[in-house]
Amino acid sequence: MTHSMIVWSCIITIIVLAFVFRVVEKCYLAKDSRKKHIHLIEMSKEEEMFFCPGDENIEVKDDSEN
Amino acid sequence: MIQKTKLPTDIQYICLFFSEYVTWLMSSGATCIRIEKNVARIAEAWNVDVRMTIMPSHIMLCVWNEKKTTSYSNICRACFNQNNFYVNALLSKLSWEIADGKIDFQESNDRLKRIIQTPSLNRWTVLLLVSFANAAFCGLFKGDMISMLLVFVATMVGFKLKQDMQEDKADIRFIFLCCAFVSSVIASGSYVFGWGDTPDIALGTSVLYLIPGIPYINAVSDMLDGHYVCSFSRIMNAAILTFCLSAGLYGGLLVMNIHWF
Repeated sequence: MTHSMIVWSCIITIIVLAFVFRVVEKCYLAKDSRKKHIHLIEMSKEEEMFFCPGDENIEVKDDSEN
Repeated sequence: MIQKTKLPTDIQYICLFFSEYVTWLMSSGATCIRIEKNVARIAEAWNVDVRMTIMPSHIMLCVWNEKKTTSYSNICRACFNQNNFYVNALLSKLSWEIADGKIDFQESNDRLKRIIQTPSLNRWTVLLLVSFANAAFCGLFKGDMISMLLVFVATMVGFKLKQDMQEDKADIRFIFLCCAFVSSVIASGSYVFGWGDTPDIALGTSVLYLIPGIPYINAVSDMLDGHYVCSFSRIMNAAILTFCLSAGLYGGLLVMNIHWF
């Protein structure tokens, strides 16, 4: 293994670790803010739909305001 | 033919509409000529006289009523978060609808508020599309499949880093430097491990997604239109980003002991 290969592997490991730590940090923050388990599949609001340019803006009215 | 529209008597409301309109138009990446044309179109429909001074990050507006008896001035500041051509197109469409007399002042205000609230594209979709686009660039420069795959990965990691650093509100120049460094190091795997037959193309195209193309194009457009201050500002911003990109790429080459220069 050459010097360049070791440097390349080290840098890639650091990048991967940084991303993993960030994901873990985000998961903890999300868990703390919602105080409930994160579900893989769950029901969401209509306004959280996948937006593509050309779609109409959906204004969801809160029923509890009535 | 431009239709005349009934307006509120207070010129203040019209000026505030124009302020918000031009701010969003400039923030979404419109050129100076686009801003001037759209504003002139609306002003003609509403029978008002709008005078504008467009600076790199501010716009000074002065709106006069038809009889030139009352005026209202405002200075608005554009925030350069992200170029959004969809918002840009919607704002231009709005100006045409006003000019055609299809919508009145109140409806125009409501429409503008809806345009402002337009959600941005899903960040994961953008990440995937940018990665595919950069891999396609590699293919266009006659890179082989392995190089394209490597460029795809390098772009994906670099662009994700860019998104995360932007979320953390890091300095844009530092972001460009880091992303170029990371992408070039990943793409240099083709040199180090001998993956593929076109390692130079993989390395060269791995940072292309960072090139600030829109500011360069807008700078030329502004220069041709005589807005030299805006043009110079845009070109300097783009040049600084390009310098940071180059520094990151050179750093990557230096660390990986690749002697291109």
